[in-house]
Amino acid sequence: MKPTANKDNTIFLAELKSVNKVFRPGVGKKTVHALKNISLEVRQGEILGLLGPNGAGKTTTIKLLLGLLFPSSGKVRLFGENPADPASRKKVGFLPENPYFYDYLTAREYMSLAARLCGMEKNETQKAINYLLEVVGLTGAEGKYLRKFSKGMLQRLGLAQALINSPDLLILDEPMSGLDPLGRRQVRELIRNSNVRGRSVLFSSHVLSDVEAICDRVIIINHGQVAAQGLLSDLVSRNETKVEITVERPPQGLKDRLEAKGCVVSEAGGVLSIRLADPKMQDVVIEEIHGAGGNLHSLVPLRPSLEDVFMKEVGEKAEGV
Amino acid sequence: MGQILAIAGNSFKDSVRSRVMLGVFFLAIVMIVSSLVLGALSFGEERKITADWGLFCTSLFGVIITIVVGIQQIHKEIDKKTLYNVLAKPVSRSHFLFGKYLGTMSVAVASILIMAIVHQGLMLESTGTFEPRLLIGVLADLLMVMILASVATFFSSVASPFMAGLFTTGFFLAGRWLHEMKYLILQLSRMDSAFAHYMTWPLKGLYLALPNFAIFDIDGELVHQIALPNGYLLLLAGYSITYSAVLLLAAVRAFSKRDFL
Ligand SMILES: Nc1ncnc2c1ncn2[C@@H]1O[C@H](COP(=O)(O)OP(=O)(O)OP(=O)(O)O)[C@@H](O)[C@H]1O
Ligand SMILES: [Mg+2]
Repeated sequence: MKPTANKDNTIFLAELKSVNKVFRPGVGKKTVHALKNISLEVRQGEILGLLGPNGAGKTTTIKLLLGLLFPSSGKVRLFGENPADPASRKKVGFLPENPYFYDYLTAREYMSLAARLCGMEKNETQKAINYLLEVVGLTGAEGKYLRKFSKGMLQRLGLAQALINSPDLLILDEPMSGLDPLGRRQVRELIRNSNVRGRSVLFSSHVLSDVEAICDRVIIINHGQVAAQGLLSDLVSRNETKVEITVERPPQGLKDRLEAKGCVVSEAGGVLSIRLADPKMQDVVIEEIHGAGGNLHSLVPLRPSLEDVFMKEVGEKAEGV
Repeated sequence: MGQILAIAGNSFKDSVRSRVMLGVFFLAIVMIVSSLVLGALSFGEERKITADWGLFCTSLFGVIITIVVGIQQIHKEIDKKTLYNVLAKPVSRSHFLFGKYLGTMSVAVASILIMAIVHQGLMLESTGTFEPRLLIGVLADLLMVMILASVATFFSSVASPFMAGLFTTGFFLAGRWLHEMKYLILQLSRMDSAFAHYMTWPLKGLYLALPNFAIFDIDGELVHQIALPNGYLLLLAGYSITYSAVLLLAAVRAFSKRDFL
């Protein structure tokens, strides 16, 4: 049960090493190469976002880690063990995509089933169940049958059952899908708050704002391959910063002269705005504005959003297919 | 063991809280009770009719309930993906299957026992005494559904529910008519044709592989108060345990390699 560590002693709770996964849906049907030689790892204490468009291979990656699927080739490790060994999942909590729970059980019955499946003792479960139901805001619904639960309530129950064994690694597959804005926000906060005592969280999403709001590190996957990965801050600053300059009451002809220099210029409401892809251009442009007797109103560096990074990595590849 | 019991208990709850299962069970009870009407119509034969009909209904519904529960229990978990929640916990696939098997058995045992109690009540009503000897037939039923549940578990862990249902029912019917099959093999081997001769091989294979459900049918002996051979029930028990253990192990092997999509 020892997590594996690499040279610099970073602890990996879970890893995929050169993993391929090929689905053979049946005789006569096309095989699907869902993961192509993918390698990634989950480090201790981080909130890792697995980001990718539909069909990228996020769910496949997660199911491999949990031993629900077996790799066609390559190596999968969970807490240093083969996921086929149930003991590797002792310290793992999982919330599946579009979770469905036994709808003939009440919330409390479901939670106590989850506890028993984790091998917990009867006397320690009741307290844990009450506590978790309160954390996810389901106090008062303990005796209700799950078939009467709304989607948001089910999602929160899913989080509660994933936390029952106080896992060191929480794996969530699209935990915010199908929730209204309020529900998304609650789940976001739950994830943020659950990242305590060195617990790691791996969650998949194709919603950029969710990833941006809660992740430390991001792995973007596309067509079964890692397209980009890194700390959120690094990923975003790796791409050059753009600059936007605005000029109020611009003098005649300034727009034409800037455009002649190759700048993208737009005019609205008597304000000229100039977007520069290359920040080195900004001195030239400012000189030009002063030379024309114009009045520099603002100069704003535009930090690229994760969306820009995502579109760059995923958009280009998609066109290249 | 705690995990297996938790899974079995959950399956039991599912069946007990399902309208369909309660409906089937209610129908079984109505059918058994209807032996009172049949008995009243048959002058002088009341005891025999009530005994015979009750044993027949108990076996029939025991079999139906076992097949239905055995197949839908596993299929539902895969289809609705509730299985992910179980297998993502530190639960091995063999424990999952054993739990499901035990769950199916608990439903089968509970319904057969309730039917038997109702049946004994009817015997009391129509003849003035209980007839405990008929309970031997109930015991034989229990030993039989033990095998049947393992057949259902095996097929649902390797095939779609439709195929699993078909195969399990097929196994049951063929296993129940194994005597006739033996007779057919004998007939074929006596025939003077090479084709008939080769035909006996696959039939002989089937004859050996199929569970022999015919040996569990002792209703005739019980109703007509004929003695059973010494140690017959022990033989049945040994056969049941061996056959279902082998089949469950085969199911675990297949299930452990499976991808859950
Ligand atoms: N059972 C299966 N049989 C065949 N192909 C499959 C199967 N499951 C997944 N795939 C394929 O594998 C690829 C990856 O699927 P996966 O479910 O991992 O994507 P995802 O990133 O989770 O997408 P989404 O955002 O839609 O959930 C897809 O091309 C999908 O069609
Ligand atoms: Mg998915």
